Amino acid sequence: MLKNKLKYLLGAFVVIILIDQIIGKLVPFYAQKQKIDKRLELLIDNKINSKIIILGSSRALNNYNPWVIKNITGQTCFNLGYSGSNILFHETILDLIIKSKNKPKTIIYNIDDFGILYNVDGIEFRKDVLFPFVENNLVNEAINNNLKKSNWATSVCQTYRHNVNFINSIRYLIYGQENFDYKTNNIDSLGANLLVNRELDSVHVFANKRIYPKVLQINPDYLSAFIRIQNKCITNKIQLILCYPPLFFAPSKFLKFQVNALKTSNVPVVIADTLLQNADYFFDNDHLNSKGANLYSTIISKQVLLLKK
Amino acid sequence: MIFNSISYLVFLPIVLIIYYLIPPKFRWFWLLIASCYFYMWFVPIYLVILASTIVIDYIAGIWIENADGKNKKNYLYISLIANIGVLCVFKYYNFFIDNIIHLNGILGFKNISIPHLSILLPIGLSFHTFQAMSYTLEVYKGKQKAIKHFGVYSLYVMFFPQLVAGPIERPQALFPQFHFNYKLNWENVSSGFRIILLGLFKKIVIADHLNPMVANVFDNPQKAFGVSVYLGFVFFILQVYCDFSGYSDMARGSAKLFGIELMENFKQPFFANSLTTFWAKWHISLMNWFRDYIMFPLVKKGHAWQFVFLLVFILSGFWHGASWTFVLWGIFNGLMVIYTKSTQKIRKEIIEKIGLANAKSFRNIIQSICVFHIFAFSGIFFRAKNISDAFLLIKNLFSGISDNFLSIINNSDNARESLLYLGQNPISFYLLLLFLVILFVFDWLTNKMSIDDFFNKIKIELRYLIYIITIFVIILMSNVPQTDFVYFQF
Repeated sequence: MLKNKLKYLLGAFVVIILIDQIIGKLVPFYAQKQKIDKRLELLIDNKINSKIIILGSSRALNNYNPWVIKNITGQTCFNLGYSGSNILFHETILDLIIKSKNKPKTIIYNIDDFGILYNVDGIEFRKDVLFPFVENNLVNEAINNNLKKSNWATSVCQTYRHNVNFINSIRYLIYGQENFDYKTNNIDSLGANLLVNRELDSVHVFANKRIYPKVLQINPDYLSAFIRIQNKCITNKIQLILCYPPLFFAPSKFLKFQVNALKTSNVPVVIADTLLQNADYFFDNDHLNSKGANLYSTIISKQVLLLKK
Repeated sequence: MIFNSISYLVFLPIVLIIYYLIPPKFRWFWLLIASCYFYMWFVPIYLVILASTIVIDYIAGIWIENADGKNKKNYLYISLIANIGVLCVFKYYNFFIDNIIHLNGILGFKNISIPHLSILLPIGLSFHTFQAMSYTLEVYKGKQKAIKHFGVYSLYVMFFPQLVAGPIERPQALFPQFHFNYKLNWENVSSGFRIILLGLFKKIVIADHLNPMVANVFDNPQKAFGVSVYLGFVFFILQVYCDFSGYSDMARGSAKLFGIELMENFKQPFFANSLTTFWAKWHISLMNWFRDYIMFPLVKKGHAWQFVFLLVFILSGFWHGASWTFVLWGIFNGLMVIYTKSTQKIRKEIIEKIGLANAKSFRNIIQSICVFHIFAFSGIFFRAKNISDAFLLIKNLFSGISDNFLSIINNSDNARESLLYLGQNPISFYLLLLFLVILFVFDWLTNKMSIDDFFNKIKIELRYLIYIITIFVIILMSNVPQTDFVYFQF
């Protein structure tokens, strides 16, 4: 009797292991297929081989034209900016860059006026971007830390490791790929997402002013990530350039002062927040359009060349 | 340590294997060490508070048994004051201070400053103090002999499966099982495993996924209207049910692995067709505590049953939390139960007059739906951050309903996501509904029989298939951040 029960138990155990392995393969496969933006896949598969990499949030994605930078500097350039991402996410991307076979020589890190050090609505650790790649140990660890999942359990159980992709893989099977979004996943072959003209939004007020919140608390995690990013670049002999992109509203002197104080002494800073004052260069208050991005990328490229000398 | 954590998944088998490897006479000691470790996982220092009340109640129990007349009562008072005192300091002190300051302001007296206590509430405080009090009360009543073995008494309060969120056991139920002459047997292990699996399903697959949807409504009461408010409180009560009954299942399942039976805390309450039946099926161990130690003695003394019912429900609300919202929750439920009992005859006559007396099944369904909605509505007070939020939600419940329906049908401005799915994506929402249906079907199937009987009736292959599917559903759905059990805060 007991022998029979143990037989069933053993059989169930074997079936569980088998199903676990199958889920571990199928779920990430469909989750990756669901995504339009394939840049992270390229990075993890060592298919990005560029000397200059752009890092940051939507302002990095929309404001820098890698084609212009490539033409002027003569160095290959790739944009790895992700809309709505915070500095902790940027650090994870930097870790992946450092771990890849083709390390860049220069990283242009776009500084958001507030999102870089403060908690701002809509700026977050973009787990959804990383989820399909939890097979990668570095990504898996980052996700585990963020979701308080056990590292040990994710290494033992494939289903547990890949459960973050469960809904997206079902979504792919039902609806196919994710929706196309002009502003976030209209990615060109060098990773940029340039925007044309102005945002067509009747509610949007296109005015050169913004009221900054007076009281904001620095997020200590963001602050330490900012320092770690600089140190990681120095350790890996990557030239880091901190850039304030043009903004169509009052610049934040306070933040600029803070970032200047916090940066490692030999990290160059390009300040271009008040550089473009004409609304024709802007898609909205926070982002350049392609015309502005081309001009700004020219300025950045010249700075890169100057630093090279 | 929480039951739905990987740590517990490691902790439980280790404790279990050593438990069965050591001789029975040492098992109490092993379980006590394991329970201390389990409790210290939260905030280690709180073990001192727990230990101090254990010492007081242990001594009080012996003194009560040996004393007679007035002294007996005095020793009981010492025990009760110690337990209620700990509750007052850690749980209710700041609430009282806030109210004194507020009252002072209303009466126009000078501003007084009374310091607040900035300490965390020891986890499960209301549960283990109530269990400890039931021991001294039973010894006082002569229904339980005082326990001379300090270790075994400590284990009665600290037995880890039911330490932090019950069920609140009676000494007569637990001590006779503390002989520990248990042998590892297949039936106990498979039964315990099944109940734990059911608990994990309720907690991880349903409660944890309902949590963000409920928070979407209750954290932004000014933005929630009509359908959203309705779904908010309905989902909240389902969340509480799955969260708390899930915890109780895991507690019962874990205890069963050690050979110990804990009482059932929930008996399919949503199939109850009257509020009085409902309260006999919901958080049974607490309601029994109030029934035996408050309700019966007061009724015996000749107090009006309406007063006693209302008092018990107010106390029950206050037991849950030091906030006026919980008191209102208690008042609402108390009044509803009083109404139910008072109008029983009239309602029966109405049912007969409209010809529903013979349509028993249909009537039961309608009555169960009504009971569910009355209780779910009271959840607004339970979950709202404060009274004004609760009343705002009630006000918003009745506004914008027709607009909501139109928007949901047309899906204008992605209305379904905010109004119907409460911030979630449609796939998560419909999956959740599917799992809720599966749970309710299972609850219905096991309404008249035990879970063990249900599984023993089905073919072994199908049984294993159900286990495997459930395991994978639990693992796949543990894709949201782990959350504490709702009742841990009490």
